[in-house]
Amino acid sequence: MTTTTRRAGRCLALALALAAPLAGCDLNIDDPNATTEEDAFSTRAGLLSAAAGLQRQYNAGAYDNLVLTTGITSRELAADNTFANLLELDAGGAGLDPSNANVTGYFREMYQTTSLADALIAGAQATETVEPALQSGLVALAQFYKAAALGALAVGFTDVVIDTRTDGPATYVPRQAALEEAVSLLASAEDLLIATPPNAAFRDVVPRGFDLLNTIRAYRARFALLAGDLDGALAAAGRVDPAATSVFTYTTDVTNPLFAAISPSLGQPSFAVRDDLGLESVEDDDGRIAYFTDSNDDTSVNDYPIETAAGFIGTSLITPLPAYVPDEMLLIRAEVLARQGDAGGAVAAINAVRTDTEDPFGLAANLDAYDGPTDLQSLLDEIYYNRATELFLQGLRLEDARRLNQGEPDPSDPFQRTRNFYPFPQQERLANPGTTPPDPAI
Amino acid sequence: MRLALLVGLLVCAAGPALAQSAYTITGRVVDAALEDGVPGASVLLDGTQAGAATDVEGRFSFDARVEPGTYTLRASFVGFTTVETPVTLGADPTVDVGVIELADDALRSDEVIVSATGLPIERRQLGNAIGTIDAREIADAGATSVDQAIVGKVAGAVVSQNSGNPAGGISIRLRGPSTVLGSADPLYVIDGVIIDNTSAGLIDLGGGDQNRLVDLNPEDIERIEILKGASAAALYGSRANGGVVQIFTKRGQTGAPSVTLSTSVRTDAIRKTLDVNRAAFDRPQGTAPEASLSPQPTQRFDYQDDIFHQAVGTEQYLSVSGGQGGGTYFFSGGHFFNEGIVRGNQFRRLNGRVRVGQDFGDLLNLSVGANYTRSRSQDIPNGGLNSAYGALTAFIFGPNFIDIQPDPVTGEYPVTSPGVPVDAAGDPIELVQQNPLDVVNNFDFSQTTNRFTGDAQAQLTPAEGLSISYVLGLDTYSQSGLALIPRGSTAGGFDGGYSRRADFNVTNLNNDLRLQYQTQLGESLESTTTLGGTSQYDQNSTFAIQTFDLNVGVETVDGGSRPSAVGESRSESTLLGAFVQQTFGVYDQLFVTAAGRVDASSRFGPDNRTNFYPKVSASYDAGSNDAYARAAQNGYFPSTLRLRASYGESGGLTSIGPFTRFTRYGPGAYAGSNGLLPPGLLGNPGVEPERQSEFEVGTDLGFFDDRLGIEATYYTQNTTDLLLNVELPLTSGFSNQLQNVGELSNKGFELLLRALPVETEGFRWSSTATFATNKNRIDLDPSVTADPFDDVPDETLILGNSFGLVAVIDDQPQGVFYGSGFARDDAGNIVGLAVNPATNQIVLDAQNLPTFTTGTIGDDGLLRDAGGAVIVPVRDGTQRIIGDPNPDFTASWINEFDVGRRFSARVQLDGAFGGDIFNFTRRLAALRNFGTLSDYQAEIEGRVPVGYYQNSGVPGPDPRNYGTFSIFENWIEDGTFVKLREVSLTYLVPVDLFRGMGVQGLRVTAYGRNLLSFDSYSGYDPETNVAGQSTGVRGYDFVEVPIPRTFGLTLQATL
Repeated sequence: MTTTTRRAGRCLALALALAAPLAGCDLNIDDPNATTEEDAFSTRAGLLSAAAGLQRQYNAGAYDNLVLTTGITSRELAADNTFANLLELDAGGAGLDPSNANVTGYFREMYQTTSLADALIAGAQATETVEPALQSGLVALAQFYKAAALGALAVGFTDVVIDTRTDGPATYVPRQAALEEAVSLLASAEDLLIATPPNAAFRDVVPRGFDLLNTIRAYRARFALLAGDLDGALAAAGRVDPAATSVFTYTTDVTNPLFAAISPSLGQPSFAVRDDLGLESVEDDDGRIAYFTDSNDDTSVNDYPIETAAGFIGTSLITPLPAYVPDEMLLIRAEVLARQGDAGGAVAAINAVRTDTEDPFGLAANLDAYDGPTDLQSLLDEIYYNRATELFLQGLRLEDARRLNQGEPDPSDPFQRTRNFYPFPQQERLANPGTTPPDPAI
Repeated sequence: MRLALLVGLLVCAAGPALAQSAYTITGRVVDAALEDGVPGASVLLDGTQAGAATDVEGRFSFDARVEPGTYTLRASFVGFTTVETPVTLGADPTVDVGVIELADDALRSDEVIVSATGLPIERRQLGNAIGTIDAREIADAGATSVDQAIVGKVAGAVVSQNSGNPAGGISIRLRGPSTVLGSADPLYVIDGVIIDNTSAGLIDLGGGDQNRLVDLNPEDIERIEILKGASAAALYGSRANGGVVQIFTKRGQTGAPSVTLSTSVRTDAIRKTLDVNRAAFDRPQGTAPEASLSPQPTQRFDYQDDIFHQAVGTEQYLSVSGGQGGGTYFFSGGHFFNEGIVRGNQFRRLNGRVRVGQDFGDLLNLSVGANYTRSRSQDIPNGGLNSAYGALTAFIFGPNFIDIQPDPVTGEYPVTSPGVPVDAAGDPIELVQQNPLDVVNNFDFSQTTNRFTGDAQAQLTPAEGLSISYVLGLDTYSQSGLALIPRGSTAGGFDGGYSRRADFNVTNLNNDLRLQYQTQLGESLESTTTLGGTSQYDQNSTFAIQTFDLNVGVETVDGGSRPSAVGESRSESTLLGAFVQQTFGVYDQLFVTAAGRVDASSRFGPDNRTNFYPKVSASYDAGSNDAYARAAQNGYFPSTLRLRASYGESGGLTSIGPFTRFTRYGPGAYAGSNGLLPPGLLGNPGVEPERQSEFEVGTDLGFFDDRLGIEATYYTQNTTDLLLNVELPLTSGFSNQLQNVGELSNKGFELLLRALPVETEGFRWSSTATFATNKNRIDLDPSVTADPFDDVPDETLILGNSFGLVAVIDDQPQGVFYGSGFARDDAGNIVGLAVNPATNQIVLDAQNLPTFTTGTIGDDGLLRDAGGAVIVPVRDGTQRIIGDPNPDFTASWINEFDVGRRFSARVQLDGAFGGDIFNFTRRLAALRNFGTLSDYQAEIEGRVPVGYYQNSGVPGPDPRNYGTFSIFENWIEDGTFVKLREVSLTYLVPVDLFRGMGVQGLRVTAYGRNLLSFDSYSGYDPETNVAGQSTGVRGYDFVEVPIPRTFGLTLQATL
């Protein structure tokens, strides 16, 4: 190589060195427009925001999908709009299309919740700048919401995915296993909160009305009962403070989704509350029916008699929804005792609900004590009636009707559930053809 | 910093001095046929930097400081065969080489192509068919934009002017689209600078947007090279799937200053207007059933008279160029102004360009170029994609019996809705339509762009055979879109006024270094090795703000009381690439090339960040074989025979967003706490470019001493890893993800013919014809297109900006029209409702139900039964493919005539054959509620049955099932056209007339563009597209501004 060439080479190297900074060579450019996964789950601030987002995701995205979709199927609600998906859901039965938008929405929102909760749990555990008293709160909160979502999925589907993943086909487990997983997550959350009480940094991202510890215990009792763990259910229910209340908070920005879906004040609603809460026969002067409905003569698009919604579903866009109602613990106790053969204890628990005259939510039956037969099915029928009224629109009636032997699905009976379980959404089956379980017949 | 670079290079440039003498070399280059001087030809003393361009008479004179000896003088000009003349430089310092004759080169074999390898190489050595266009072809065409310069001149380049606005968008497809989601337009490179060509929809004009190629003044273009696919463009790596268009601007050449001054005027007018409803009476439109109402006398208007006008345009251009002492310069300034044919629409472009170059001995050449452009369009919204406020939209949504002139007292513009219309059920319907005159007179929409494009380049020749080039390119601009609808507007929802401002800022940088080493390995083997590296950086940002409800006199968003949709976003990406290429030339006959490029881009997922693109090609030039040349001379074989084949791969990243690799969480505040919500779209850390592999094979043949040249090429492209929006299992917690899952192919045949049918003393006729086919096919995986609402079958993707009527479907060409069709019986006959000819009403039976019969569509487009009576078509709602906008083939034919020394003429015909157009414009106007065009007049006047277009009042399960309005198949038309694209006449005024005034040449050109269209299309123009530069939605006619007919006169003086 000549000296000229060498000089030229040096010269160009210099030129490139001078020019290179003009055109950046960095291949790792951050996104200034949005929070990336890394921002969200590996920084302290990101995890706190993810915790707030998780509550919003479930309370105002997933929970209402559970309540409204299963509410139609269990006859708590009637479709009140002529959208094809609503009419199809209202008709129910074996013909329910796997691509039904309501079923798909319910399914999707629950898995968005579990996926976000999983990321929050992993992030809170792996991020070094998260102090223990914040970590315990974040993990417990995420475990609670994941459990809530898994339990909610077990209401409508025969099989559930416990671990969301984006890198391959998901593994489905039977709903029983999902309920057990929910109970185990709640047990872990309860232990965490007791071992390391969360600090103020955590409490700042949880609305004041939400009592995390009592809600965890209540859901633990609820899902243990659904999973058949009677002792566990009884024990957890006993640890719930009967005087405590816990609610999902709504604001003018994140509104009460049940009110938004049911109230005609915002235009033609999609859903309406059935007369007598969708029950074939109710007791006269049951305070709970008066709580949830204001009487009128309207009928839905499919000619079901409907009422004006009242109570926490019918008041306003910012009315909070209870995370659970205190009397659910009494009804869990009643069912456990009845199933364990303690009819007297069961009746006592039932009566505590029936004769209730005041309740933190104003939801009180104010009925006479139970005087019916005390064989198991009669007690279960009575418990079903009380759960159907007391736990109205909490996404539980479809499950209760199955568990408490309330007949078989019958789309032609306006008071009978239209299905037991939903078909798996079309998108899931097409995108995950290998592991999506077969659809239930009904 | 750039100064430091220059200094650095200057320091390095001082080379050793040799014993040299000064010579002045003069001569003249003439056209062998016309014996006329060839202006602008390049004359170069081979192996030195000494050379010049010829003047208008073809004369040249330049100084050379070289050692005495024998040299080769190389004279070349595009379109002519290069001539090499030996020159002996001895004691005499002045050398006259006499007359050099250049002969026409139909095949352009000697043409030097830069783009394919990054450094100059003769066309005959390339394994690809590369399109080229030179300044003369552009000037003769009266082109005012780059697309007009390209259209019809390159086989395999489909150029679409999507809108007839003077700044309207253009699309170029080289061998068909190679992407679904991204832009399929080619990569544009100007003087080595990668040019941004975004179609930023800053303001909603209801149709296509501008793209920024409009900032380039075609007068500045010296030549254009077009690489049509991966096999030619592999060295452009991940940005080459759409092909590459490389534009070279003019440079100064050594010699006396040359001044070019040109001025032109033109006038544009609409070529064809639509026939409006002229019915003298009416059953009031928008009311039904009309049969129950008695006809009323009605005055009707043609709003097109108020919307279109005769537009004028002017253009001035000045360039000064020259060079001495190894330095060259070129300065130009241009002003372009053109009104649109829609009143109120206009476009003004100001630009200035500078290029200076300096030789430092034989070692180094430095060149710096800079271009500044200010473009401003005054826009009128028109297209039907937004029906809320366009002018042509207002016209087509009619009805046309309101006098739209403003009230003489109040100045208020009437809305064009007929009182309070009622629907079939007798309920009032909202039908407030803006007044087109209000839109034209009062709306104030504009887009202003300030743009700087600059480059610094170094060419280093440090040793025999070794050349090094370096380019630093910068392209930066800011585009600002303003939209103002004043308070009191007639546009529905905008009556309180509306103001929007959106800004778009772009900065693109590229650094390119290339080293080429050429050496002779023994007598018969020549080797050329090229090494290159590139670093590219793109950054842009948008900012938009708007408000409704303006106070009187307020134009700014701050003056509004309902600011909304404030948006900001930023994008940034980098790309690093390196390539190596090796070419062997064997006996100067066979040329074999192998190359590879490696790319890494920030857009690619970290898991697939690096991509490799190989290429191999071969070219065999039989004419360089002496034995063949002798045989050919005896007439046994074609005078030129060249075979070429090439395979290459390239990438496409236009579908990949700058941050597609990330999962991006959105804001989701909850109960006073900042919150994050999961997105439906999962980021793809493995996203990689769409990969095209292309094989092409072709031949170049010359006959009759190359007076007839044929260039034929067959190509097949396959694009894999096509990015599509894939539905995910919902159990993943996400709904969809961009994944590299699809596949598409383009296959086609290209033919280019250049002929010199007549070449006699004083007359020459040259003719160029192109012909190209392309077949595009998509291969979709059914899981990709699962639709959660199951509205469409699997293996079908519905595209946006098409009202759901354009789809990408498995095993079909991209962008087929997809919708409901005519109901047909089992034998395939079209089903219709029987009509009573006496009453012109649909026949109803005892149950009050219609009677079905069958018929055929006649020449007039109406459905008639066997007896010839018009019957009402029935809709079959099943979605099906109803048309394909992709032409079967495109062709063009250009003829040029030179008569004597002074007259020349040029005629260009362009055609596209077999493509369909969706005439949405006519569909709307046939509807009773609008009734703007003559179709509805026929219904009013009883020439078609009542309810032919839209049924009302006929019982049935669904009244909408009758009538053509809801039968989309009815509105698909054949878009085949042949256009008389251009006719021009040029006269060279004898400069003797201006003796003593310094005028060396004066050219007068009169031209016309888009003069005639031979087509059967009933709409404005088979060429426009309301979806603008959309990749998939083509041939969609919904009141986009048609391409005007233009007449112009240009005067060009050379001083």
